[in-house]
Amino acid sequence: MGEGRIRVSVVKDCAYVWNAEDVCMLREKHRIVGRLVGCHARFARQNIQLSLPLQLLPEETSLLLLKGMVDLVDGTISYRTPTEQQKQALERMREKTFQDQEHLARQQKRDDIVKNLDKIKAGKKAKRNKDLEERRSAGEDIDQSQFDEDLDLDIDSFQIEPLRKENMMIQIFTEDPWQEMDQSLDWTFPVTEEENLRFRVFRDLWEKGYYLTSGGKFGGTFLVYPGDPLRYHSFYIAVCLPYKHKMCGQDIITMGRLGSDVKKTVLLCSVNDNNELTYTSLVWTAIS
Amino acid sequence: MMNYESKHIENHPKYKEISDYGFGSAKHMQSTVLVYLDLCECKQWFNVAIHPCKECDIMFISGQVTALDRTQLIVAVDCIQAIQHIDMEQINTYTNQIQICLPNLGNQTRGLTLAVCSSDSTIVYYKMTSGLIPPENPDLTQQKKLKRKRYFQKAKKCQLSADMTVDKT
Repeated sequence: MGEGRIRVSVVKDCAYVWNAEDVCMLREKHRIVGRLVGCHARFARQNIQLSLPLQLLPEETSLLLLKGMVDLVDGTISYRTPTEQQKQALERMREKTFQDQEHLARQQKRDDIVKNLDKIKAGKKAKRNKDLEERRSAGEDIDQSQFDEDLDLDIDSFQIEPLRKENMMIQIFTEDPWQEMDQSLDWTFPVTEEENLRFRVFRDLWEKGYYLTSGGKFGGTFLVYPGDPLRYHSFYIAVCLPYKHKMCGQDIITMGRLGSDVKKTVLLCSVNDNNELTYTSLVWTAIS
Repeated sequence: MMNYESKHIENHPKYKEISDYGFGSAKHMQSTVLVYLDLCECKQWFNVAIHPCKECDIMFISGQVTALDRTQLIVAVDCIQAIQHIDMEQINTYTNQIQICLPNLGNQTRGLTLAVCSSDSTIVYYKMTSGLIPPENPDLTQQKKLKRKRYFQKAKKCQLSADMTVDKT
């Protein structure tokens, strides 16, 4: 598998990216938006804010493969029962993590002691003086200088309680850490004429510098944005249709109305008889 | 007794003029004359004319919103008429060469307007242009909306004052 390539898990012809940094890189560097489809770990039981994994459109996956930016792996491997080897590897990893956490916890407690040393000294001195006072009241001869004597405390003399295993933190992975890196998969999109048209349009508009997402919500094939969809509204609703596909005037009005209501241009995209992509922009005009 | 046949669009002089070209379906000719009349009488455009295009077997209309505006080209289609993207591409291609066919047409707008005519004579206009044309700036749309609102308010005021003057007399 290639160095620096993003790993994409494929499950039943759906492509997912599980690594958070890869998702950011896809968006910022490669203008691939995808869609988050997973449950948010901290805010479960709601659909407003979703989280990893990022699901890619088939067109996005094919484009990334063409540009050599990703490697596909079989995502179903993550659902299989773990082998004895994997179980042992997990135990070793947990043990190491525990030792690291234990060391860090000890260090943290030591730092806390150093930070509060003055308070601790004052507290111990007050306690000592209280004992001396009680002894003096009992008749013992205690010199005043003993009350004023400062305590000399050595940090290493403090007993620091070790971290217990039941208190250790356990990482739950979003990206499968055990995935075999030599697993590869065949990707067959695009196959049909319609899929080829969609992919050609997607690729062409992407190469022109646009961001593209699925256009299902607006009745089109793609939504085309001049910049990141978080910052811009889309300009175009791209509708892919065969060059000789028959439409009637009513269909034109349907598409045009859809675009004008949401202040977007409907873009009719086809491949002509010379195998060239052609675009026709459809905009409602208030003739007056 | 009223002669309904004499009121039909086919008796309009413009219809008779374009039927002499000898091509284009009856439906297309009716739609073209309907759009022509809409532009002349309702929208009050300038220099409205109908031109034949044998290569595409259609007629298109040219006109200007005001005398100083650029010429726009319009093609009338019926609501249920079948159109293919290839047809639109062909029409676009030919309109790009229109200067050769009609040197007096002058400065034109890019693209073509499709006028879709329904059976109840409703006409909806859609601009078709080759390539990627971004939508209008929302600020500009808002300005146009306010301008239209002010225009209608002014027209309403004028109408009211005219009515009051008539009542007094």
